[in-house]
Amino acid sequence: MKRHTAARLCAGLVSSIVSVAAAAEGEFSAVVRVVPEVRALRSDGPLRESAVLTDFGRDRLRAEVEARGKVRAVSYTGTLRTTALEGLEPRHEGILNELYVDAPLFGQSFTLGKKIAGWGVGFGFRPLDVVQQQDRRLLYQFTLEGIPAIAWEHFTESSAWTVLYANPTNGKGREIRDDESVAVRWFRQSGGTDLHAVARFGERQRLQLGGGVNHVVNDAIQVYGSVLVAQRHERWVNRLTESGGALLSTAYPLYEVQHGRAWQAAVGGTWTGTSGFGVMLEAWYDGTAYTREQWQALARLAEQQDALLGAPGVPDRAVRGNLAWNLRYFERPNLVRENVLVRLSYTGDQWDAALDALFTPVDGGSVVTATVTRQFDRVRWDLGVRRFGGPGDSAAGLLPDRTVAYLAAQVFF
Amino acid sequence: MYRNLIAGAWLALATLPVFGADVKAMLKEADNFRITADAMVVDTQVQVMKGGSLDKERRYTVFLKPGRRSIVLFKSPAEIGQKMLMTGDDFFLLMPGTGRPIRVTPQQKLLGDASTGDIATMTWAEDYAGTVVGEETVEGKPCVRLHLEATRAGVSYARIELYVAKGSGEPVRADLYVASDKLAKQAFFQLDMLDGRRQVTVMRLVDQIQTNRETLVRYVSRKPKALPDEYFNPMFLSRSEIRE
Repeated sequence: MKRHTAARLCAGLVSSIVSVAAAAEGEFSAVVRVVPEVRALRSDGPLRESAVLTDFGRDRLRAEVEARGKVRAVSYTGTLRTTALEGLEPRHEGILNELYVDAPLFGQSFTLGKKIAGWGVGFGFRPLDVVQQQDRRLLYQFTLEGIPAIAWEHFTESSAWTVLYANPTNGKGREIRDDESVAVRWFRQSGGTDLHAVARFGERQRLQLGGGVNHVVNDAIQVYGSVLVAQRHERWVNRLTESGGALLSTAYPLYEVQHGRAWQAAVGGTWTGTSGFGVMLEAWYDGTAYTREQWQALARLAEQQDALLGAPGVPDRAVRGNLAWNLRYFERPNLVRENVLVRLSYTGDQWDAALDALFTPVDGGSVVTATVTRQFDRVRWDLGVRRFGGPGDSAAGLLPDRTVAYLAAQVFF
Repeated sequence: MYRNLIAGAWLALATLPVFGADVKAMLKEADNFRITADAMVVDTQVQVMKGGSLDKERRYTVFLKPGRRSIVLFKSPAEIGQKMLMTGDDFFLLMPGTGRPIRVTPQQKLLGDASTGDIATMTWAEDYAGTVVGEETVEGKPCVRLHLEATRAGVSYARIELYVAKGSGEPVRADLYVASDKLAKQAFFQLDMLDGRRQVTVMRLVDQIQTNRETLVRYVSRKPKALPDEYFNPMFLSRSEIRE
């Protein structure tokens, strides 16, 4: 019954969007996406038992209609999404991805509103994305949600300045993206070389300073690199990993630890051949990520907690709850500090394919992803499979999920 | 004997600049049937035919400015929001929903459909140098055959054999060769009166590698328009001001 309701809702949305598209003045486009995703839990691992309390291991179906357009000077992107997770009630949500005005005034360029602002250099990890971070761990990337901001920009043909005031009056938000901050970007292009510099000031990380370069070596090769230093950073730590005593907590055991300076740096390069094949190699360091020792401590704690399941006098629910709290460690842009990413790709007239392998040499973890895309006139199919591997005490090896696969169908209007 | 050789070499050298200048003028003349103003906006409709039936249709709006500068706006539903900036041999791509213009290499630019928008507006006079190699009848028209070599890295084709009609100078056929010197496509030009002047209205690209593929590039409109120089800054791609 609920499935029928969701299907009717989606059909109604599609019908409305198509009607609006037909009648709309100005620029308008829409896309309908249906993305079923299958997740398989690993057969062992201490955090596996926590999955029942979380979204891990649950198959899911996401259906959405995204509309994008421009009315006079106002640009907008909005999404109506239904998410159905195995065993849970479907969730319906409306997302205003972007709503902004770009306008020239007195020879300068201004932006007011909610807009996506990607500033970084590179593919796997972009330290210079100080305003808007893209969660690169997601297997299928949905459209980002912009940052509310006021921005001034000045352009010449080869250089640009941006001053952006993000999340005005917000103070310290729930996440970094919600923080009130002032950010400055400088860009200069000189032939095949681009220079980038950023600075950002916010309550959480105080001052961040960074720079990057991108250089086209020849027709087929480009190299890039960027570095960012933050005056302060913070991480969630489970106090049970530090105490060496109690294994379970009756209250939320994670607390935020403030740390001092942290560096993030990434270098990489791409090669593209005439046949459509390409290779990308990227390595990065993220000083804000957990250390090997912190993951090992978490793995030890999780194993000890897992061993309490079924023990007399210990409620399983309490054990699973404590195991689930540990999963907050995975809410980081990078799980481990040192990362290496290799990507092999093929771009054809009809088919695109890619094989990504992310390695974390310090703990032996790996995340391997294969994707295939077929583009028709107005329809696009994407198929992807990801597998997490590594020893039991590695970050990737601790994840409750072992394999994730998706099929995405998109119809464009 | 040596005197004759020296005289011959001198004659060849002396005539080279004139010959070169003639080719340049011929290329400029041939360009003028497609590029009708120094700074302009061109709307193109691209239909990719496979086995005789329509495989996909794409629309591009291309802004051109002297100095080998152009901005391609992708207008078809499956690609709308994408933008490509080309300044000389430098290329940048903006994907919708990212807010991040990314640098692409000349080789990356050639992949996918985007190169068609580029081909539709390529300027032979700016990007190629060559020689007259003979005369042939093509499509029933007496033509001059020009052998053209790319003068920069970022162009879609390294070599072109261009046939222009004797007298009018209008383009009739172009054989397009990729860097490996393989014939990739043949372009046939259809001309008509438009806005009071004879212009290329359709370019038919016959794929020589995937022989069942053919691409029809229709020039929907051409209007003079000069975008401000700062619009050709890569970071400007993320702004929404660029409009026809």
